Amino acid sequence: MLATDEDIIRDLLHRYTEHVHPTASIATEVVARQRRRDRRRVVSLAAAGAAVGTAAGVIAVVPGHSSPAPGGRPPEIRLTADQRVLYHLSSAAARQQQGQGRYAVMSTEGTDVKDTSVIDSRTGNMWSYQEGSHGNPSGKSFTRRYSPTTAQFAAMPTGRAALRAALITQWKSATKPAPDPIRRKGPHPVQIPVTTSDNDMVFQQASYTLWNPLVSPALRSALYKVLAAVPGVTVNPSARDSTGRSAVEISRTDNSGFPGGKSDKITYATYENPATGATLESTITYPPGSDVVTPQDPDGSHTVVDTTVYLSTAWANSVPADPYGG
Amino acid sequence: MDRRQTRAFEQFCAESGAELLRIATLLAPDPHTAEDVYQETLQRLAARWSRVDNPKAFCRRVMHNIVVDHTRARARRPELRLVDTGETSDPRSADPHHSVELWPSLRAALDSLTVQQRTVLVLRYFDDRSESEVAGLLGISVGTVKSTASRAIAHLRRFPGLAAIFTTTDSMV
Repeated sequence: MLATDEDIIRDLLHRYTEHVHPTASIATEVVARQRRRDRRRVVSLAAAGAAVGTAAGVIAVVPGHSSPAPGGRPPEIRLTADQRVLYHLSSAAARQQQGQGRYAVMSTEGTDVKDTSVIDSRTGNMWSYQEGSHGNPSGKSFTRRYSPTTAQFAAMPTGRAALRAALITQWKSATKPAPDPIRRKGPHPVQIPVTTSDNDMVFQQASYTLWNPLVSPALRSALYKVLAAVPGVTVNPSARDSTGRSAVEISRTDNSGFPGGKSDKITYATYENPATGATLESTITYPPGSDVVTPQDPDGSHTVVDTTVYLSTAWANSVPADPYGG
Repeated sequence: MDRRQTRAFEQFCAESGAELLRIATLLAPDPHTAEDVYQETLQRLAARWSRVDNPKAFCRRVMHNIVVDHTRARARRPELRLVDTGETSDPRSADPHHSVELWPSLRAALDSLTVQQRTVLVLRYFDDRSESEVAGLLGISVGTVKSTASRAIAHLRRFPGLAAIFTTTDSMV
């Protein structure tokens, strides 16, 4: 017997949701994502020290920082082999045309998951349709995220110093912790302070930006020049992505860890099309014993490579249907 | 997160995940948004796991905040609501007392409430939180919880697709 309005509502709400069940793997996925975020926020003193040492060599390519040449000649700019490759990549990117159409439709493939994302270039809304999620080849899911708009990317500076500063600002803005209302109610716990060097921020933010098809050719070109001046960056001009496509591999290994955890050498890499400067693949490699757990490696005892392959990008003026029929 | 924290977090998700997703389903305007709210809530919890002393309360407050954010974003960009929110199944239709298409009406009725009314309703009558607990979670007074719940119930009673449920209850006994 449902005696009161409250009882009726209680009954309705419970019966309405009794068929709702979360996927079992959600906690593992959240933890894996959190570990990646933790690692990106942490810098080791060793990496910072190495960066300072390397910066002296890089500064020679920055106009105005070199010693004046005798006889009034302009200062000589010497590029390393890695920097030359990145400058070639920068030139290739600058020659490309911006995609035409309101919606960018991007197909990617992860370890087990196929993903087609639709990005609205005007609003930044991003709809991602996945197939093969939660370890089930036929499993389908849908997520919504947000990207900077074409206009926002276009408003970013393309000068090297200004872009570097903008990337640092973006990184700090994106990783600023949200207010924690619960924290006010209890005693403040002791926290291990976390710092990240400017070079870590620049590399991470630049590599997070490069994959986005809304990035203009001018900005993409500038990003490669900024990366060329980040200490610790390694470039392999004759690499191949996991599908066999020729690529320029740009990678950087840091010695990150996370509060309460141990330090690990994590390698972040992005593979770029040498002819166009478009991103073909990005990877994060965690070494054995890095405390990174996955459903396949619950003890974190193996090397884990988190891979995203960018298969294609097309442009449309209307929202395409779910490609997986979900 | 270290391994000990990971295990504790995963245990919490195993024990409370269904309950949290159901609350998200009731708070969000559609199932896709509910999934997003649920995942985002767990992500924020994971980020603060070592500092949160009451994960359940944290999740409820965070879910409310995320739904508020979603609602504001949608209000700014109403034309972008492209996700189909229609329900195709009516689990209650098997009930001889409720053969009507009830769920679309309930969904529409919940959508017509304000975010605060909806959250108070869900926390009070689905989550079985006391008025003082709801007040603490939402940062409002107990009096506001009472009046908000009362107005929400009155609204549902008057809602076209649900009015019959309330008025025919006595005949079901």
